[in-house]
Amino acid sequence: MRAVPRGDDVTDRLQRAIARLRLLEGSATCHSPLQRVDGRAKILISVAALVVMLTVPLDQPVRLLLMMLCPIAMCGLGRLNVGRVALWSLVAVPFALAVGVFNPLIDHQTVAMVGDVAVSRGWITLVSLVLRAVISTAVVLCLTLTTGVYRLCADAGRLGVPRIFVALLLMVWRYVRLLVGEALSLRMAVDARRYDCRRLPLALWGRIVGRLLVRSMHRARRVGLALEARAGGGVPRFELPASPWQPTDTLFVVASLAVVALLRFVPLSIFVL
Amino acid sequence: MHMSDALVSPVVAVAAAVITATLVAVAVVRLRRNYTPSLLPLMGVMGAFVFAAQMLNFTIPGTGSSGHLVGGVLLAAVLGPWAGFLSLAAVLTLQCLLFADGGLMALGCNIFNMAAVSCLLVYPMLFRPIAGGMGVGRIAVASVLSSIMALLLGAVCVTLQTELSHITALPTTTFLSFMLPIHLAIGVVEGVATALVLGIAYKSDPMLLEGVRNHPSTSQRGWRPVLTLVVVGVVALVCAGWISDFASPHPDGLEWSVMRTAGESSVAATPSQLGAVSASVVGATALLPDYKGALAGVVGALILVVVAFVVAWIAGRAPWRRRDR
Repeated sequence: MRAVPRGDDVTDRLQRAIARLRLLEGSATCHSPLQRVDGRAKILISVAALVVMLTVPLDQPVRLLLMMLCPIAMCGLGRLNVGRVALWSLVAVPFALAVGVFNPLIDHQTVAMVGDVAVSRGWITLVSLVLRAVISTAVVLCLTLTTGVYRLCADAGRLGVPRIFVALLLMVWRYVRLLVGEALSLRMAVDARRYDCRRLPLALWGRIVGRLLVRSMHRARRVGLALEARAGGGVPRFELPASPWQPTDTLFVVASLAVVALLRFVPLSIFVL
Repeated sequence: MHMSDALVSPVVAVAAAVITATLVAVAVVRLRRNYTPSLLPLMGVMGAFVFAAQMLNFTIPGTGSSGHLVGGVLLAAVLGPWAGFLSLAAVLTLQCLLFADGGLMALGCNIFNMAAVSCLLVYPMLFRPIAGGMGVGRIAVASVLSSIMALLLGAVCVTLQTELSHITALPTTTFLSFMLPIHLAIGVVEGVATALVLGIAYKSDPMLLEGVRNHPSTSQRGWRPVLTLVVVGVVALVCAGWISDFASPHPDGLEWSVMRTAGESSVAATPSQLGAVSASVVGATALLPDYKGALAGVVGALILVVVAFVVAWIAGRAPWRRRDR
């Protein structure tokens, strides 16, 4: 028996994307210790944690497990739903698995014994790759969820990212939801007219996306004219007003760096009883 | 093709970031020189269009699987090489931050592999010469060939970056033999999709592409792809050489100071009475007294992570969590 056509795969994905974009924007307005910290401090600490995590050799998965405390602590301090962050972080696992899946087949060097079972270096490096993928994704998600795109872009600009690039990021961010919504309405219009609407044939897809492209460019022209009328000839400012760097931000940076260094350099022998 | 942070070493990540930042700076300078207020909205909306179009899948004929637009060649065709590069760089940055597509440390690699290769190399060298006279047929041929070339070059870059990071045990040639056929197939699909979209847009309003093509900020005057390739190559070599100094096999500062004071790179533990007492306490309270080494280490770290996870979960669901609306 043929399965019931699932006509709303793409529609669901578009709706989920819109909900997620809304959630990302809303989450940054929560009250939590981490959300009160300056965005620049959070960017610096996130980058430091990622760099330190990348310096952990692939044959030390226990060390990487310890580094997992970084995103967990960020979730705790940011009062984020740690389960949801963990679930979203799995998105990076397939590519890491695809690259590392050959390691156990090629690298047979025994590096540890679990009871009587020899564990090869290939398996260890595969596990480490997956852990690295999850940790790095979780750190970035925590950074975005606790800061918000507007604040993140503004603080990136204050850290030296060119203003025109910051304005471009914010422009894309503004219109992403609008155009995803437009793509959703186009897709729903197609679904309403088709009996079997599981997937779009290529020719129909081309017509829909081509139409979306034409609409987008017309929209861009209108926005350009409006901006020219309002902002004159300069690069428009979308950034939030800058907040001053507080002593608590310095304290946060120092304490976080200390914790990251501790996780990186603490002797693993304390776990080996 | 989005690379995760797991697949790059710090040296490769920093080298790619330096190269990409240089290219972004050049693009910003070129755009600023010929800036008009209509350009930024065009780049922003087109970036958002690529973002949205990537979520609309289509069926790949004869396979039952589905594909989506990548958008590098399309953006370059509509906006020109530098504006297209900057726009795609913004899309990749937002994808990294919002949907965790690709890592933050690997962002330099991803922008280089997808945006720089397609917009700054393939577009001026392949797309523009073929599609120069315009017309649906020429646009279609140029789109397919350019997309295939962009994806194959991107796959080669991913392979090299992963191999240089010593992430995979696969030899480079074997890794390439896995990557290239897959990306050849993806390139054909991407090319057909790009050709369809550009063809329909061109038929709908020929000036839509022509007008943008002649935009002063996207003009080709003074643009030397080969020269850029050479400059990027030299910068890459310099970066790799400079950064590799930091990754030297010599001891780091802490090890060096320990060597100076103790004569060895690590300090050996000296047996003491206190140590013997603590060892007996640890032995009596150990959860896994029979397992030495790896397993106990993993279990210890896992317990720590699970406890932290539970604490964070409780904090996330606590009644004091409120939202400012």
